[in-house]
Amino acid sequence: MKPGRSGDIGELVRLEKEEAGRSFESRRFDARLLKRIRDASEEKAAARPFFLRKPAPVIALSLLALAIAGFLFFRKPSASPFQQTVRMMSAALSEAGDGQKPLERADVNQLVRKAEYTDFGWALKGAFFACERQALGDIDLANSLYLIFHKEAPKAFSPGDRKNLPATGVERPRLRTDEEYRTFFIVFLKKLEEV
Amino acid sequence: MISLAAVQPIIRVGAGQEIEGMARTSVDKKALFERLLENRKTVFWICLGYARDSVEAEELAQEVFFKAWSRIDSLRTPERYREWLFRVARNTCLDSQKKKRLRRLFEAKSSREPRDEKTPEALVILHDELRLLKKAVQALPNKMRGAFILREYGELSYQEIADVLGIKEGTVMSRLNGAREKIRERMKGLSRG
Repeated sequence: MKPGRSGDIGELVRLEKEEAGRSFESRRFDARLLKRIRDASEEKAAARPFFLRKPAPVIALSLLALAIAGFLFFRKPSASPFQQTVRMMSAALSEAGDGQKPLERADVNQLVRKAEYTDFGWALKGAFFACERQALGDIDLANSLYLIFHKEAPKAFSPGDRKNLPATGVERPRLRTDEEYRTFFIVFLKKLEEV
Repeated sequence: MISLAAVQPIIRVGAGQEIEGMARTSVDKKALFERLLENRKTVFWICLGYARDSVEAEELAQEVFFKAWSRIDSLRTPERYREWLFRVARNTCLDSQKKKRLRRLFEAKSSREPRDEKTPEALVILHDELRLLKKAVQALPNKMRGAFILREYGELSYQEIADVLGIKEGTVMSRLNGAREKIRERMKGLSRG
Protein backbone atom coordinates (compact mmCIF):
# COMPACT_ATOMS: atom_id res chain seq x y z
CA MET A 1 0.00 0.00 0.00
CA LYS A 2 1.48 3.27 -1.05
CA PRO A 3 0.76 6.15 1.24
CA GLY A 4 -0.87 9.04 -0.38
CA ARG A 5 -2.12 6.91 -3.22
CA SER A 6 -4.71 4.91 -1.37
CA GLY A 7 -4.76 7.61 1.25
CA ASP A 8 -6.14 5.19 3.78
CA ILE A 9 -4.39 6.21 6.92
CA GLY A 10 -6.98 4.40 8.97
CA GLU A 11 -6.07 1.16 7.25
CA LEU A 12 -2.40 1.67 8.02
CA VAL A 13 -3.20 2.31 11.65
CA ARG A 14 -5.29 -0.83 11.69
CA LEU A 15 -2.34 -2.81 10.33
CA GLU A 16 -0.03 -1.38 12.92
CA LYS A 17 -2.46 -2.20 15.68
CA GLU A 18 -2.94 -5.68 14.33
CA GLU A 19 0.76 -6.32 14.39
CA ALA A 20 1.26 -4.80 17.81
CA GLY A 21 -1.80 -6.62 19.13
CA ARG A 22 -0.15 -9.96 18.42
CA SER A 23 2.44 -9.30 21.04
CA PHE A 24 -0.01 -7.94 23.57
CA GLU A 25 -1.33 -10.50 25.99
CA SER A 26 -3.88 -9.35 28.50
CA ARG A 27 -2.92 -12.06 30.95
CA ARG A 28 0.74 -11.20 30.92
CA PHE A 29 -0.11 -7.51 31.09
CA ASP A 30 -2.30 -8.05 34.14
CA ALA A 31 0.27 -10.24 35.85
CA ARG A 32 2.94 -7.58 35.43
CA LEU A 33 0.62 -4.89 36.66
CA LEU A 34 -0.35 -6.99 39.62
CA LYS A 35 3.27 -7.61 40.53
CA ARG A 36 4.06 -3.93 40.33
CA ILE A 37 1.08 -2.95 42.46
CA ARG A 38 1.87 -5.66 44.99
CA ASP A 39 5.51 -4.59 45.21
CA ALA A 40 4.48 -0.99 45.68
CA SER A 41 1.98 -1.98 48.38
CA GLU A 42 4.56 -4.04 50.22
CA GLU A 43 7.07 -1.25 49.99
CA LYS A 44 4.53 1.15 51.37
CA ALA A 45 3.58 -1.17 54.20
CA ALA A 46 7.21 -1.87 55.05
CA ALA A 47 8.12 1.77 55.08
CA ARG A 48 8.37 2.83 58.70
CA PRO A 49 7.27 6.29 59.71
CA PHE A 50 9.87 8.97 59.24
CA PHE A 51 10.35 9.54 62.95
CA LEU A 52 11.28 5.91 63.43
CA ARG A 53 13.67 5.84 60.51
CA LYS A 54 15.41 9.11 61.33
CA PRO A 55 15.05 9.75 65.07
CA ALA A 56 17.96 12.20 65.44
CA PRO A 57 16.73 14.96 63.13
CA VAL A 58 13.19 14.55 64.39
CA ILE A 59 14.30 14.92 68.02
CA ALA A 60 16.42 17.94 67.12
CA LEU A 61 13.52 19.53 65.29
CA SER A 62 11.16 18.80 68.17
CA LEU A 63 13.52 20.41 70.66
CA LEU A 64 13.90 23.42 68.41
CA ALA A 65 10.13 23.72 68.08
CA LEU A 66 9.77 23.39 71.85
CA ALA A 67 12.36 26.10 72.43
CA ILE A 68 10.63 28.43 70.00
CA ALA A 69 7.25 27.72 71.59
CA GLY A 70 8.71 28.37 75.04
CA PHE A 71 10.30 31.58 73.92
CA LEU A 72 7.06 32.79 72.37
CA PHE A 73 5.08 31.80 75.44
CA PHE A 74 7.31 33.36 78.06
CA ARG A 75 8.67 36.34 76.21
CA LYS A 76 7.75 39.72 77.50
CA PRO A 77 5.53 41.72 75.23
CA SER A 78 7.31 44.55 73.49
CA ALA A 79 6.98 47.82 75.29
CA SER A 80 4.48 50.36 74.09
CA PRO A 81 5.55 54.00 73.77
CA PHE A 82 3.81 54.57 77.10
CA GLN A 83 5.79 51.81 78.81
CA GLN A 84 8.99 53.08 77.29
CA THR A 85 8.30 56.49 78.77
CA VAL A 86 7.64 54.90 82.14
CA ARG A 87 10.92 53.04 81.97
CA MET A 88 12.78 56.17 81.03
CA MET A 89 11.24 57.94 83.94
CA SER A 90 11.94 55.07 86.27
CA ALA A 91 15.57 55.10 85.24
CA ALA A 92 15.78 58.81 85.83
CA LEU A 93 14.21 58.45 89.27
CA SER A 94 16.48 55.58 90.22
CA GLU A 95 19.53 57.54 89.29
CA ALA A 96 18.33 60.76 90.87
CA GLY A 97 17.00 59.06 94.01
CA ASP A 98 18.49 58.90 97.46
CA GLY A 99 20.62 55.86 96.86
CA GLN A 100 18.03 53.50 98.26
CA LYS A 101 16.57 52.97 94.83
CA PRO A 102 13.14 54.16 95.77
CA LEU A 103 11.65 52.98 92.54
CA GLU A 104 13.03 49.86 90.97
CA ARG A 105 12.78 49.70 87.23
CA ALA A 106 11.51 46.15 87.39
CA ASP A 107 8.79 47.21 89.79
CA VAL A 108 7.65 49.90 87.44
CA ASN A 109 7.59 47.55 84.50
CA GLN A 110 5.67 45.02 86.51
CA LEU A 111 3.15 47.59 87.67
CA VAL A 112 2.67 49.10 84.28
CA ARG A 113 2.26 45.70 82.67
CA LYS A 114 -0.55 44.98 85.04
CA ALA A 115 -1.95 48.44 84.37
CA GLU A 116 -2.09 49.13 88.08
CA TYR A 117 -1.85 52.84 87.62
CA THR A 118 -2.80 53.64 91.18
CA ASP A 119 -0.01 51.49 92.59
CA PHE A 120 2.38 53.05 90.17
CA GLY A 121 1.21 56.41 91.34
CA TRP A 122 1.98 55.32 94.89
CA ALA A 123 5.42 54.23 93.82
CA LEU A 124 5.98 57.62 92.30
CA LYS A 125 4.91 59.22 95.50
CA GLY A 126 7.46 57.09 97.29
CA ALA A 127 10.13 58.31 94.95
CA PHE A 128 8.93 61.85 95.45
CA PHE A 129 9.24 61.59 99.24
CA ALA A 130 12.61 59.91 98.97
CA CYS A 131 13.77 62.77 96.78
CA GLU A 132 12.47 65.25 99.29
CA ARG A 133 14.45 63.61 102.08
CA GLN A 134 17.61 63.53 100.07
CA ALA A 135 19.62 66.60 99.28
CA LEU A 136 20.02 66.54 95.55
CA GLY A 137 22.32 69.44 95.12
CA ASP A 138 21.42 71.65 92.23
CA ILE A 139 18.70 69.41 90.96
CA ASP A 140 15.41 70.19 92.61
CA LEU A 141 13.71 67.07 91.51
CA ALA A 142 11.34 67.05 94.43
CA ASN A 143 10.12 70.49 93.56
CA SER A 144 9.67 69.48 89.97
CA LEU A 145 7.57 66.55 90.98
CA TYR A 146 5.64 68.71 93.35
CA LEU A 147 4.86 71.15 90.59
CA ILE A 148 3.63 68.35 88.47
CA PHE A 149 1.43 66.85 91.13
CA HIS A 150 0.16 70.26 92.28
CA LYS A 151 -0.56 68.66 95.56
CA GLU A 152 0.63 68.96 99.11
CA ALA A 153 2.17 65.72 100.23
CA PRO A 154 3.09 64.62 103.73
CA LYS A 155 6.75 64.75 104.59
CA ALA A 156 9.21 61.89 104.89
CA PHE A 157 7.75 58.84 103.39
CA SER A 158 9.82 55.95 102.34
CA PRO A 159 8.58 53.57 99.62
CA GLY A 160 8.22 50.80 102.18
CA ASP A 161 5.90 52.88 104.29
CA ARG A 162 3.27 53.49 101.70
CA LYS A 163 1.25 50.45 102.79
CA ASN A 164 0.92 51.95 106.24
CA LEU A 165 -0.37 55.25 104.94
CA PRO A 166 -3.81 56.27 106.16
CA ALA A 167 -6.35 56.20 103.40
CA THR A 168 -6.91 59.93 103.48
CA GLY A 169 -3.39 60.93 104.39
CA VAL A 170 -1.97 61.19 100.91
CA GLU A 171 -3.33 62.60 97.71
CA ARG A 172 -3.03 60.13 94.95
CA PRO A 173 -1.94 61.40 91.61
CA ARG A 174 -4.89 61.86 89.34
CA LEU A 175 -3.55 59.58 86.73
CA ARG A 176 -5.97 56.96 85.60
CA THR A 177 -5.67 56.62 81.88
CA ASP A 178 -2.81 56.15 79.46
CA GLU A 179 -3.44 59.59 78.10
CA GLU A 180 -3.13 61.18 81.55
CA TYR A 181 0.05 59.30 82.22
CA ARG A 182 1.49 60.20 78.88
CA THR A 183 0.83 63.87 79.48
CA PHE A 184 2.22 63.56 82.95
CA PHE A 185 5.46 61.98 81.78
CA ILE A 186 5.95 64.50 79.05
CA VAL A 187 5.60 67.31 81.53
CA PHE A 188 7.73 65.47 84.03
CA LEU A 189 10.57 64.92 81.59
CA LYS A 190 10.34 68.51 80.47
CA LYS A 191 10.60 69.67 84.03
CA LEU A 192 13.45 67.30 84.65
CA GLU A 193 15.31 68.86 81.74
CA GLU A 194 14.63 72.31 83.09
CA VAL A 195 16.03 71.56 86.53
CA MET B 1 -7.25 -11.79 32.91
CA ILE B 2 -8.05 -9.71 35.95
CA SER B 3 -11.45 -10.37 37.32
CA LEU B 4 -12.57 -7.79 39.76
CA ALA B 5 -15.96 -8.10 41.29
CA ALA B 6 -17.41 -5.28 43.28
CA VAL B 7 -18.52 -7.57 46.04
CA GLN B 8 -15.17 -9.26 46.50
CA PRO B 9 -13.22 -8.23 49.56
CA ILE B 10 -10.01 -8.26 47.57
CA ILE B 11 -9.13 -8.07 43.93
CA ARG B 12 -8.40 -11.46 42.51
CA VAL B 13 -6.13 -11.78 39.55
CA GLY B 14 -5.61 -14.80 37.36
CA ALA B 15 -5.26 -18.00 39.33
CA GLY B 16 -6.02 -16.89 42.85
CA GLN B 17 -3.69 -13.93 42.85
CA GLU B 18 -4.87 -10.80 44.55
CA ILE B 19 -3.91 -7.18 44.72
CA GLU B 20 -3.04 -6.78 48.34
CA GLY B 21 -2.89 -3.03 48.17
CA MET B 22 -6.45 -2.93 47.05
CA ALA B 23 -7.67 -5.14 49.85
CA ARG B 24 -7.78 -2.16 52.14
CA THR B 25 -9.65 0.07 49.73
CA SER B 26 -13.37 0.31 49.48
CA VAL B 27 -15.47 -1.98 47.35
CA ASP B 28 -16.41 0.95 45.11
CA LYS B 29 -12.80 1.67 44.32
CA LYS B 30 -12.12 -1.92 43.46
CA ALA B 31 -15.09 -1.99 41.17
CA LEU B 32 -13.91 1.20 39.59
CA PHE B 33 -10.43 -0.15 39.02
CA GLU B 34 -11.97 -3.21 37.45
CA ARG B 35 -13.82 -1.00 35.03
CA LEU B 36 -10.64 0.93 34.30
CA LEU B 37 -8.85 -2.31 33.52
CA GLU B 38 -11.50 -3.27 31.01
CA ASN B 39 -10.03 -0.50 28.87
CA ARG B 40 -6.51 -1.92 28.92
CA LYS B 41 -6.52 -2.60 25.18
CA THR B 42 -7.73 0.89 24.30
CA VAL B 43 -5.05 2.38 26.54
CA PHE B 44 -2.50 0.14 24.89
CA TRP B 45 -3.61 1.40 21.45
CA ILE B 46 -3.39 5.01 22.54
CA CYS B 47 0.09 4.37 23.92
CA LEU B 48 1.00 2.70 20.65
CA GLY B 49 0.13 5.91 18.85
CA TYR B 50 2.68 7.76 20.94
CA ALA B 51 5.26 5.00 21.25
CA ARG B 52 7.82 3.77 18.78
CA ASP B 53 6.67 0.17 18.97
CA SER B 54 4.49 -2.27 20.82
CA VAL B 55 7.09 -2.96 23.52
CA GLU B 56 7.27 0.68 24.47
CA ALA B 57 3.50 0.95 24.19
CA GLU B 58 3.05 -1.85 26.70
CA GLU B 59 5.47 -0.23 29.11
CA LEU B 60 3.54 3.00 28.83
CA ALA B 61 0.23 1.22 29.35
CA GLN B 62 1.65 -0.39 32.49
CA GLU B 63 2.64 3.02 33.72
CA VAL B 64 -0.80 4.38 32.95
CA PHE B 65 -2.57 1.73 34.99
CA PHE B 66 -0.13 1.97 37.83
CA LYS B 67 -0.75 5.70 37.97
CA ALA B 68 -4.49 5.12 37.75
CA TRP B 69 -4.28 2.70 40.66
CA SER B 70 -2.22 5.12 42.71
CA ARG B 71 -4.41 8.10 41.98
CA ILE B 72 -7.82 6.52 41.90
CA ASP B 73 -8.81 8.63 44.90
CA SER B 74 -8.43 11.77 42.82
CA LEU B 75 -11.18 10.63 40.45
CA ARG B 76 -13.98 12.96 41.48
CA THR B 77 -16.62 11.82 39.00
CA PRO B 78 -16.48 8.02 38.78
CA GLU B 79 -19.01 7.89 35.98
CA ARG B 80 -16.50 9.67 33.77
CA TYR B 81 -13.75 7.16 34.49
CA ARG B 82 -12.98 6.52 30.82
CA GLU B 83 -12.35 10.15 30.12
CA TRP B 84 -10.12 10.32 33.20
CA LEU B 85 -8.20 7.17 32.26
CA PHE B 86 -7.54 8.35 28.71
CA ARG B 87 -6.38 11.69 30.03
CA VAL B 88 -3.96 9.89 32.35
CA ALA B 89 -2.81 7.83 29.35
CA ARG B 90 -2.24 10.87 27.17
CA ASN B 91 -0.39 12.75 29.89
CA THR B 92 1.77 9.73 30.70
CA CYS B 93 2.73 9.35 27.04
CA LEU B 94 3.49 13.05 26.66
CA ASP B 95 5.60 13.01 29.83
CA SER B 96 7.49 10.00 28.62
CA GLN B 97 8.22 11.70 25.31
CA LYS B 98 9.48 14.79 27.07
CA LYS B 99 11.82 12.65 29.17
CA LYS B 100 13.01 10.83 26.07
CA ARG B 101 13.71 14.12 24.32
CA LEU B 102 15.69 15.36 27.31
CA ARG B 103 17.60 12.11 27.46
CA ARG B 104 18.45 12.40 23.79
CA LEU B 105 19.62 15.95 24.31
CA PHE B 106 21.79 14.88 27.19
CA GLU B 107 23.21 11.95 25.26
CA ALA B 108 23.91 14.17 22.29
CA LYS B 109 25.79 16.60 24.50
CA SER B 110 27.65 14.05 26.59
CA SER B 111 28.84 11.91 23.71
CA ARG B 112 30.13 13.46 20.57
CA GLU B 113 29.68 10.31 18.57
CA PRO B 114 26.97 10.53 15.95
CA ARG B 115 23.78 8.83 17.02
CA ASP B 116 22.66 5.82 15.07
CA GLU B 117 19.19 6.51 13.78
CA LYS B 118 18.56 2.86 13.10
CA THR B 119 17.57 1.62 16.53
CA PRO B 120 16.75 -2.05 16.99
CA GLU B 121 13.16 -1.10 17.68
CA ALA B 122 12.88 0.56 14.29
CA LEU B 123 14.01 -2.63 12.64
CA VAL B 124 11.11 -4.47 14.22
CA ILE B 125 8.67 -2.50 12.12
CA LEU B 126 8.12 -4.60 9.08
CA HIS B 127 6.33 -2.40 6.65
CA ASP B 128 7.79 0.77 5.20
CA GLU B 129 4.40 2.36 5.20
CA LEU B 130 3.99 1.77 8.85
CA ARG B 131 7.37 3.26 9.53
CA LEU B 132 6.49 6.29 7.47
CA LEU B 133 3.15 6.60 9.18
CA LYS B 134 4.85 6.45 12.55
CA LYS B 135 7.23 9.21 11.58
CA ALA B 136 4.44 11.31 10.18
CA VAL B 137 2.35 10.92 13.32
CA GLN B 138 5.29 11.77 15.54
CA ALA B 139 5.91 14.88 13.50
CA LEU B 140 2.38 16.18 14.00
CA PRO B 141 1.84 19.19 16.23
CA ASN B 142 0.83 18.10 19.74
CA LYS B 143 -2.79 19.18 19.51
CA MET B 144 -3.41 17.41 16.21
CA ARG B 145 -1.52 14.35 17.32
CA GLY B 146 -3.64 14.02 20.45
CA ALA B 147 -6.88 14.11 18.50
CA PHE B 148 -5.53 11.79 15.80
CA ILE B 149 -4.21 9.15 18.20
CA LEU B 150 -7.34 9.12 20.33
CA ARG B 151 -9.48 8.72 17.21
CA GLU B 152 -7.46 6.35 15.06
CA TYR B 153 -5.66 4.32 17.71
CA GLY B 154 -8.01 4.62 20.66
CA GLU B 155 -11.14 4.56 18.48
CA LEU B 156 -12.80 7.11 20.71
CA SER B 157 -15.89 8.98 19.58
CA TYR B 158 -15.66 12.66 18.74
CA GLN B 159 -17.49 13.45 21.94
CA GLU B 160 -15.08 11.38 24.03
CA ILE B 161 -12.08 13.01 22.39
CA ALA B 162 -13.60 16.41 23.04
CA ASP B 163 -14.04 15.48 26.71
CA VAL B 164 -10.52 14.14 27.10
CA LEU B 165 -8.91 17.12 25.42
CA GLY B 166 -11.32 19.64 26.87
CA ILE B 167 -12.30 21.06 23.49
CA LYS B 168 -15.42 21.21 21.32
CA GLU B 169 -16.44 18.46 18.95
CA GLY B 170 -16.07 20.78 15.99
CA THR B 171 -12.49 21.50 17.01
CA VAL B 172 -11.84 17.77 17.23
CA MET B 173 -13.02 17.31 13.68
CA SER B 174 -10.97 20.15 12.31
CA ARG B 175 -7.88 18.88 14.15
CA LEU B 176 -8.45 15.42 12.76
CA ASN B 177 -8.78 16.72 9.22
CA GLY B 178 -5.66 18.79 9.64
CA ALA B 179 -3.78 15.83 11.10
CA ARG B 180 -4.75 13.49 8.25
CA GLU B 181 -3.76 16.05 5.67
CA LYS B 182 -0.40 16.65 7.30
CA ILE B 183 0.24 12.92 7.61
CA ARG B 184 -0.51 12.38 3.92
CA GLU B 185 1.79 15.22 2.91
CA ARG B 186 4.52 14.05 5.20
CA MET B 187 4.30 10.46 4.05
CA LYS B 188 4.42 11.57 0.43
CA GLY B 189 7.50 13.59 1.13
CA LEU B 190 9.15 10.79 3.08
CA SER B 191 8.41 8.13 0.45
CA ARG B 192 9.89 10.38 -2.27
CA GLY B 193 12.94 11.17 -0.20
